[in-house]
Amino acid sequence: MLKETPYGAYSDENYFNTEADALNALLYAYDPLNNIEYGARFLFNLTDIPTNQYKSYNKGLETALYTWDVNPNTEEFLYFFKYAYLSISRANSVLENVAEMQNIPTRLQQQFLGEAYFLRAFNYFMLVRAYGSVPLHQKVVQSVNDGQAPYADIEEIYSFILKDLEMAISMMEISKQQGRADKVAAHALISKVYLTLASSKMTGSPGYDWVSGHEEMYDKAKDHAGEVLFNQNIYGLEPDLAKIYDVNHHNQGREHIFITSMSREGKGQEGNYSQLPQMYSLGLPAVYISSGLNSSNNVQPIIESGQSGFQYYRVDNDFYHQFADEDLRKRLMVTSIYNADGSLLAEWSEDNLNSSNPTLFAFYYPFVRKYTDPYSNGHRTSANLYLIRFAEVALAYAEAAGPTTEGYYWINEVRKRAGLGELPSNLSPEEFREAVWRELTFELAFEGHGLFELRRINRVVEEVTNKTVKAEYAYFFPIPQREIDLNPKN
Amino acid sequence: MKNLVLLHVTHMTKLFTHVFLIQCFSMSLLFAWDGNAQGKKIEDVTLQVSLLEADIEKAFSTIEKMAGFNFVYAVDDLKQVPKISIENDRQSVYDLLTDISQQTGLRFRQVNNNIHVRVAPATALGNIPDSGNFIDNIEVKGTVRDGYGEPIPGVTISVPNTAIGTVSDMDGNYALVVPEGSTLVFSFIGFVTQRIAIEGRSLVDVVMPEDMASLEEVVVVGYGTVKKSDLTGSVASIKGEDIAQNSAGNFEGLLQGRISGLQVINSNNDNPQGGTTVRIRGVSSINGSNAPLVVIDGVPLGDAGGINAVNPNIIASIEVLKDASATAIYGSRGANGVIMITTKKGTTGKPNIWLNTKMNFSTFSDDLDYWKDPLQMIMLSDESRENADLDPLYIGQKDPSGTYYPSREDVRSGAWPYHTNWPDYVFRDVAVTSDINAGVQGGNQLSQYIVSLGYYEGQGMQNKDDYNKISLDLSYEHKIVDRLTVRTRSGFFTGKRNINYGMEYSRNLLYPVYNGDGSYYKMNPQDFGNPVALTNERINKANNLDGYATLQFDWNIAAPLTLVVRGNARAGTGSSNFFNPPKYTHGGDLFDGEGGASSSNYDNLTFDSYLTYSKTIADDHDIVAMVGANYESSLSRGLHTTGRGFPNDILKDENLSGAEIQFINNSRTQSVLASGFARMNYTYKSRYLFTFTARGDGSSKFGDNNKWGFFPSGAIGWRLSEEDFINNLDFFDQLKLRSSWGISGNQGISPYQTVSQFGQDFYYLGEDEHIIYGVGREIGREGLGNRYVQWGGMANKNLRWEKTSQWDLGLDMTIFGGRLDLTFDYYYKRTSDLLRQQFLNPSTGFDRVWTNDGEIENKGFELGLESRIITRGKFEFDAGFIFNRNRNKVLDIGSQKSSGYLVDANGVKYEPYGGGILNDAYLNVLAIGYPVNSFYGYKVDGIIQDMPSNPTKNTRAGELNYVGLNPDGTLNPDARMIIGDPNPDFTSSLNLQLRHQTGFDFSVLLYAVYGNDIFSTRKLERASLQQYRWTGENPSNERPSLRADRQYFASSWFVEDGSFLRIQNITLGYTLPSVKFLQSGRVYVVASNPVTFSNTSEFDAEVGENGRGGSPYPRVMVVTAGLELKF
Repeated sequence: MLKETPYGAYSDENYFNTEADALNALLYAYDPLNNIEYGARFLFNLTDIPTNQYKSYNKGLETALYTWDVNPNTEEFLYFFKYAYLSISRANSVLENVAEMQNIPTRLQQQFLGEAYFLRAFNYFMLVRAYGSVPLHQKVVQSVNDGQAPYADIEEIYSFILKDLEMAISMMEISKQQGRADKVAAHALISKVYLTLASSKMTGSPGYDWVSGHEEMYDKAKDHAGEVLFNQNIYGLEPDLAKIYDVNHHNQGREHIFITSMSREGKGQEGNYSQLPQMYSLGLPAVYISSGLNSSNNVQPIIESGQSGFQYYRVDNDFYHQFADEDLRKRLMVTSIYNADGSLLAEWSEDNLNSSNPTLFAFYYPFVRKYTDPYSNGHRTSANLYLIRFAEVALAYAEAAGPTTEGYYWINEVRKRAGLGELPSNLSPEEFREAVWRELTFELAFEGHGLFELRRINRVVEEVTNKTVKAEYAYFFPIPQREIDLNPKN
Repeated sequence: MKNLVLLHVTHMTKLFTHVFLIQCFSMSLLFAWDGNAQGKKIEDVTLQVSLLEADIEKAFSTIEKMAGFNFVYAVDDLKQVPKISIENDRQSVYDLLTDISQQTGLRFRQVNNNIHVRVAPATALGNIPDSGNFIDNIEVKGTVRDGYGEPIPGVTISVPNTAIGTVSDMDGNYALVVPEGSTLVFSFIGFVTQRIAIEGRSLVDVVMPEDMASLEEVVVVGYGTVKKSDLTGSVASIKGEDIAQNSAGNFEGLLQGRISGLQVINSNNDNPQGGTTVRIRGVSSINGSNAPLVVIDGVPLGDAGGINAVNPNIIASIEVLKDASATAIYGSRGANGVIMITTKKGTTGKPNIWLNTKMNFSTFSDDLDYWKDPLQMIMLSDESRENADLDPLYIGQKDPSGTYYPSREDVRSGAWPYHTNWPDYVFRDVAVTSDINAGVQGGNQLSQYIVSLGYYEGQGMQNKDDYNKISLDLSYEHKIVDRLTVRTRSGFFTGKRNINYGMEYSRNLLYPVYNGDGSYYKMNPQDFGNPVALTNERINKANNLDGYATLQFDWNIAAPLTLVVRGNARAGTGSSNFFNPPKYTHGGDLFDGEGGASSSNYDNLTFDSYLTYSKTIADDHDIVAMVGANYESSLSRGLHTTGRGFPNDILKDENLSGAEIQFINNSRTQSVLASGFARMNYTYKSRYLFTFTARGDGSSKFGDNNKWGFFPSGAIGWRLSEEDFINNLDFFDQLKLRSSWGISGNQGISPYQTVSQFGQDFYYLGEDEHIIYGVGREIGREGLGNRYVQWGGMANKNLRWEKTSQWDLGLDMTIFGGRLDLTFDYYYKRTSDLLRQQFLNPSTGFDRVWTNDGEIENKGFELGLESRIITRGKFEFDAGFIFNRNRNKVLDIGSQKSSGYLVDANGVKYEPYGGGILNDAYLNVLAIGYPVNSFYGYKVDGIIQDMPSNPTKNTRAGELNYVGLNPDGTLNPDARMIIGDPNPDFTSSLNLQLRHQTGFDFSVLLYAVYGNDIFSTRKLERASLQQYRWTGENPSNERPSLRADRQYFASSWFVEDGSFLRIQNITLGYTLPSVKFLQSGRVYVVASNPVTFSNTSEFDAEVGENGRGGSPYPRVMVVTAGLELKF
């Protein structure tokens, strides 16, 4: 009589019966990535804003990360951390429950479990790069006491990540689908993990002394990147740079190894759809931009007209100037805006900051157009996150391989697509890697890699020059205060 | 009733069979025996009888027919009785019987509806009982007077255990012959019985203090009633008629300042539907409910605070159970106290029809405060922007948001033609509420009924903000056979609310209402604040229909044993619909129109049954024992639909299937409570009172390991006034000490917290939308603007009751010949195992899980005074005074590790409690050692007066002088501290009532709250306060300069003394002289909230429990004109 059975609620006890149950639980594990606390905003706040890519211009509404005025209570630190673990907890639930399912085809079961391993590794990789030593949860937490997981050291976390990714590689198949990972993504991710270990060890980045040897790590990075570059034919470099960022192309783009799947048709809350374009765009009611990187005659709205932007991510004009003029990637930053009829509305200039014309006054930096959706449904867009791109793997391969034929080939492929010439052919290994790192900066700008890239080559303080880095957090952000309070580190 | 057989029809059911009756009087009329009578009062039943030289039996049967009383007598006894005459006057049965008594020497005693008739014993020696010893008889005489020295006729003087007795004459004189050494007992209705040993005297004059009827008042406690004089717990009560003169959407709102120990907060009295916060003895729970349980006619109804379904006009009385001895009988729901409502019952005799109508006229009790002079507004805007290094707005251009700001010159010259006084468009001049109640009651000896109909048509101050309700209640009882009575009560209630609320009357006056083409003016594409557009285009309605039925059997199995079996069903439906049109509303603009419809329904079933055994053993031992069981189930279901994206807004919410995106959501919650309970009252010699109760409750809401809870209590009382050493002081009419201890519980959390629940979301794979499920679900939001989801869904199988142990020490006293009643209670209440959602470390994947952890204490005292200062003469003057003081303190909120509280630089251990404010994620905290809801923030020490050498944004002249800034001038979160306490030091009320014999009455109720802090956000905003800002010329130390880009944080600058004194009601009434068809009538006028004295910057000093101000307009003052007629 007093027994409780919740109505309309699934739980461990009545779920995980069908194939669809398993898939939906898996997708639930992917879902945190779509949220502003994680992929769809704070990833950029933690990785891009603290670097030279962005500057606040003291325009208000800014996160503390613009000035590194951060502490263990900084909200991005808490929510990024929390959402990574949300995804981990859900992946753990899939691993625990789907493995027990009897009435599901083995091939599917393997795929689902492989993806869960991939996701768990993906999240721990985010965590270890952001915070260093973090608690390691391998099971769904069932009680308050279970929650007190010890902090694993960095080495232990990496070995856990690598083990999960090996499992993922062994269990998954190559099957491209927007919003999910496959075997290729697992190879790409593990190559990035090895690359991080290699370069961190090589450059003496704090926390990576324990790594056995950087060459060994580079070799493994190269092997796995090679699996992506040479051992499949579904993914490849997208020849047209603009197409990478074309929302209608996200679904089938060769470039996208792992991409989120927010949709402008999304119901519910932000996260089911994306609101990223407004984060970059100007605070003007309707902004039109050229529809391609070259033509200026055809224009398209950033998103459906009438929606003004929040000007949250403000490109540093100096960073814009670092791009070579012929670099097509420079045009991914908008310097001209138009009226709906195609007539010019305003052009960016550094002087706009002092303009008395309200429109010019708003246009004080060239804004990023990597996240736009001219077909948006009001503010709801399909502007997704490019979590793992083919170019990133190509450059990883180049970095790992060094100035070899293949190394040159892949970095030059990326450069050519951007409209740049080939690298000089006689670079030393150091010069070559330097060139790769520079290429990574331009290729992956504004895509949530900035600080992680600087950390793994031990250059945070040297390279971040437009703001004062808070030295104690340069390499590892503080564990959020709430975690420290409730699960003290000793 | 013509023969002796009827003598046996004595209803010994005594008190406990009649749970529905709250007060009646022991009618030891003209006779010295104690009799605990139930039924209607013979003083209350009036008739008009005209008899000339009539036979006494004829007189009795006449009265029987008209008044519904039965006379019980032996026919032989009346043979010698002389014939009587009664004048043709309307008078009460009481007066009639007094008259008859004087004519015949007969004496009467009422037991229930029976009036027992006895022939007065002769005052002859021969009537002395035959005792073994021969005792000398002596004659004693004297005069009986009251406290004013007036002689009292009709006083019965008797000698216990003998048949000797007499009655005082018209001059209060008596004489009788008694055995030497006897004790005389003087008794008379309305006076305190006096026992006096003659000790050889032959002249014994006696002064009889008035025995205020309240001494024999019967109060309702859970599953029974008890004589007020026998009460050991702390119970306060109020009569329905005392609150019926005012109107409110819900009855709780009427109780403010009326009942000792009951705190009522009406923080937003503009809502025509009402909605109040009700507390008894402070806040003892942080996540469970703090509202008292409301029980109506024995059936639990739910938490106090917004009970619209109870028509205040059907309330006969309200009892508030406060201490553990009183509340423990409600076990797991008693911790917050219990409000017991008893409804009016039918009567016997000729049907009464009554009609009460009220018209309420509401206006604001103070001026609105908003910009009326555009040039001044512009000047201050410019100043504010200049201080922020921003260009002025009013330059005749559009700003980036698209708002066109006319230039200052155009405004000054009148070239900009618009000047809108927005309050004219937002508010009604006068909001009119009608409240009409009518009913009929009547019946005969076997059946009684009462039907009442209420109609309420309420208006809020804002246009089209309305609430209407209709209620119909029927109560019927019937004596099926001699010992079995059936009672039913049923009714329905329907309410209709049109919500048009929170409109911005302070909107910029420089913009028009309409565009030239008649469409609504928008300042910019994102402007969704045009109140006229919202009033006309937005839809937001809610309706409900509720019904209930109770069936109860009272079976008097044998004389001492009574069984009550009762079942109650309540069910209702609610529906609501809304539409946010595109263009004029934010939601509508975002989604191309957004509309929805919801429906919900609930079923609650209650069954209870209890057996009462009541017996007096060997005269000195009164025992009442009760044992019972209870089962309650409640089930509610909901269906919610929302559509977004409509092709046009023609059909509004009428065609949700036309929406591009449709959401459907259904829910069902069910909980069960099963209980057993028992109570034992034992009274020795009417002096020493003992009460023990116990209840066992099993609830489905708790974890598998903790379904059942046990709640015991015990109380003792000592009626000192029954002791000779007190009696001899000749000071106390009544004096009682009582003390109680017990445990009660709180189960005020939603069902399903002990089981794990998955969450749900959407996920897209290409074009395919998947509805996804998995571990972890949204349980709330946190952070500024409630932006961040909190994740829960982890089960806690050990979740159990919140336990409150409470100790109470009370004193009841009546002095000055019954003119002053005083009730005092000191209590100490400690709640442990607090039901709280403890934080989990975020790496668990969950934010919070329900747990039992922490302690809160409340201690304080309550003082209630009732005095009848002038009781005779042309005037009657009564005064009531209530004083409540409560101290609340958080003792423990778990360990930091297990619960997640924060520790600040000062060592204060706290946890945020409630949502964000200004630029802070929270304001109220639970801090160990501090009261619940304490304010937390920065300390501000005046305004910075001199420009420092190295100014920063926060350290310039004219800025708030924050204490403990970082060296670089940024705010230092470590400098935050406890900056205020929203809990009052005391609340108090004074009620004065004056009646004149011409029929006029006048009363005033004052209500005061003292010593609480308010966090006043209005302080920043009120237009009229801007003139006091800091400027170079006016270096104020009170207000900072104006600066458009200043960010405000929770600081002591906003904290103000929230004390207020309010004239709550002033009533002037006139009782109409009774005429032929009209039994009684009254006209009255009440002014509610006419004046409030306070020092806050808020419009309305009465704010919610968390101390946050913010009401956008002053308290509403209501003038009520009322008419009560009874036919």
